[in-house]
Amino acid sequence: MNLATAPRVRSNLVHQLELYNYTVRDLRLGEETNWAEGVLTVNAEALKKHLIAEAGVRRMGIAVARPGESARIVNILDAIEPRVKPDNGQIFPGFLGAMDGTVGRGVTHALNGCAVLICGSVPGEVASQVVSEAMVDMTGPGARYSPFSRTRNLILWCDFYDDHDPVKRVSVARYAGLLAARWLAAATLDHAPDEIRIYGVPENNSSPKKQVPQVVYICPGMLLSDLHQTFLSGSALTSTPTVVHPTQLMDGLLVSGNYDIGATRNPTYLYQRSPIVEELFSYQEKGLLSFMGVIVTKCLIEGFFGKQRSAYLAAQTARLLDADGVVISIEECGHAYADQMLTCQACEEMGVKTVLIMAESAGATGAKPGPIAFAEAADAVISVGNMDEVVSLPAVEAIYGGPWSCGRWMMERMALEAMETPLANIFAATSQMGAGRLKGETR
Amino acid sequence: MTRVMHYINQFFGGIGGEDKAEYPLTVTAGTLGPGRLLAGKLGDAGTIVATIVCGDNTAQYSPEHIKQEIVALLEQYEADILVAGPAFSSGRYGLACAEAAEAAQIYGIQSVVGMHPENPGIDLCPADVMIVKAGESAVDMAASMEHLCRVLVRQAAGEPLGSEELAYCIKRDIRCNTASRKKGATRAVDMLLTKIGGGKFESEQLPPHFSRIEPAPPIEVPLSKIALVSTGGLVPKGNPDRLEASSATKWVSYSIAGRASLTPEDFECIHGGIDVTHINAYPNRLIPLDICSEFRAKGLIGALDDEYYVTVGNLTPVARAEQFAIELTARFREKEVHGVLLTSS
Repeated sequence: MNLATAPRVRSNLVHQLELYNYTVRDLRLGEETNWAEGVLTVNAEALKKHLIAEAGVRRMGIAVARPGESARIVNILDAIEPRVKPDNGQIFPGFLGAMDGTVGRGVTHALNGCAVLICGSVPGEVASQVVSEAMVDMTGPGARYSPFSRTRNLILWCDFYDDHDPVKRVSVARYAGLLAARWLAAATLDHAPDEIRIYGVPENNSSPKKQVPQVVYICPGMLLSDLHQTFLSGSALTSTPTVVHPTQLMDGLLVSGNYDIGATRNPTYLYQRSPIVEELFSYQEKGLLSFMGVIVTKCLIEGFFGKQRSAYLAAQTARLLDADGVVISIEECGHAYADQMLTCQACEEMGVKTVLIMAESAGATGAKPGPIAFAEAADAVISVGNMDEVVSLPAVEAIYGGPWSCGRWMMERMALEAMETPLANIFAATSQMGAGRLKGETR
Repeated sequence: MTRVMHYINQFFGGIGGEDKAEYPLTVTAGTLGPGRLLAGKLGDAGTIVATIVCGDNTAQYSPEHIKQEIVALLEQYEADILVAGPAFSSGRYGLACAEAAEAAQIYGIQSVVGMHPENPGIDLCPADVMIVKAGESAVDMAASMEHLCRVLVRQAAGEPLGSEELAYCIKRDIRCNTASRKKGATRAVDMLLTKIGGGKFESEQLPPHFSRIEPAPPIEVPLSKIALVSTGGLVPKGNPDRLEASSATKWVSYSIAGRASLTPEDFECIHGGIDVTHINAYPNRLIPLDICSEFRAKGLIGALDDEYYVTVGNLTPVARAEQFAIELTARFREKEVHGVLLTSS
């Protein structure tokens, strides 16, 4: 296999990652796991064996759902893009190996347009917190909303041991999903990619300063309970902001452990292929800005003092990175918006311009007032839509992830049937990482 | 063809003026009064199957009953959509039209209402009902009906309103979802670059408008009866009234007579938006009965109400929370409670 024939782009960037994109045009189950001319074939039995042995799942169902198929996937816990690093590089550090200097550097293989959807029924409460529904329709009106209605999905449907409590179940599923993602991408290791994209942040002082605006991405992840958390290299996020290279997100530095409201969750997939990171890199390539880095912080912080501390530390970090402006995303809702607004306030105070991305919870009729917190400085807010809007989903032919839908909005009917559901139940439908085209408007 | 039900008052129904405001709710097959004008404009787009006429006072005396009657008629005539008015600036007629629109919502069909922008009925119309701007009086009937008809035709066809039809409607400050050409992330980076460059940009979300409440005058706490109220979801173990963990539909109250503290053996927190571990370990952290009992014993608090009152604030709509407050205030007046200690999660 001669990789030298693949298209290449060169640039002067530090912490440079070469992302080898293998665009998945079809995904099939078959005798052997392999990659050939845009088709990923998966030996389900071998994958099942691997995950049962390694992750502690009791049983596992494996299925494929493609865009346009009359299929509904329920009980989704997370979505992950299959990725692997050659030459002992670390992918999903903290879970599949120890963090080292390879994370965000060198070469990463990615099965573009493909997602592992790890599913499982996790009933019950932990300190009154529950796992909420997250579903995806592959066709019909529901398919307009989720980014995972457009990916070729390998569905891993976990059956857990009876004595595994909710926290154990989600951690087993999380590990299984990450293992599967690396295992699948390994099929590309001896193949040439369709495309090589080179990402990196500009070298300090390498270019005349301030020719173009310098932009930082502030990325808060949810941390509230053992069912609602985010991991940075395997450890739960803290409210002390951490600066990371955007390319490190591409290697799975951030992993979702949040199973709250489906529409506003930040799935692992959207950290790996973060729409904001992709946009900032694409604008950087066009010479419109310099992407200075990502500040990872936590949202849903306890207490006002804690919130202020984190907001000002994040703002000051952005200032030290010499940011002219920041994009601030968020995860989930409620007082997470207080964290986002305080961070906005702190940045603007320090002369760093802000744009925020927020979903809305305006009620089924759109008449409910806006978020609980709104800073005066928040004059540039993107709305990714009202998650309370109700959509009618038709009956489907195939159901994956469970015959029943679980979660906070328990649906007391077969998931195969036609149903009305708030967008809140549709996975990443109002993603506050800006993955969708939905937008809220005043009428 | 779309089956339209038309709701009008006694004046437009040709029954009479103010002296006939007690006229009972009646139904006539086909069009009546201004409905004829509407039918002409509708043409093949729809047919008015029946017209409901009701006295404006009658509609106000027993709104729940009137709504039920309208629902029954919508069912009887298999209506697809309801039109109410135009009520112009007549306040009671506007309120009645809002009731009719609510009945349509209960029955599960859309409605279009015509009102002057200052008609008080607007505030009572269900949030997603389109209210077409009408003039002050029936002098404006022809134009008002024309606009109402255009909106009606779009709604009946299940099509989104165009900018022309939207301009006919009263802006209701309702948020709705639309599809943008660009992804949220792209819009964010575009907006940021414009903002840094000092250009003009338009925020997609504006600060919410919450009504300001003037605080009640101070009270002498040692002479007052105090009630403990919380939005934090503390209930007796097992949650006997099934108070919801989020989007609460009710408030509940539980006796604290003879208690000086809320014990973890008897109470638990069911709030769905917080980690409840610390509250469950010591429920007084949420509802401070321990300290209040101590203060009561020392005479720092005059008296404590014998119940505590609780709901869950998590994702509960403001309108519903306001309703809880009205109900609770009535209860407090009845029980001669002077002050409330309100704790959140």
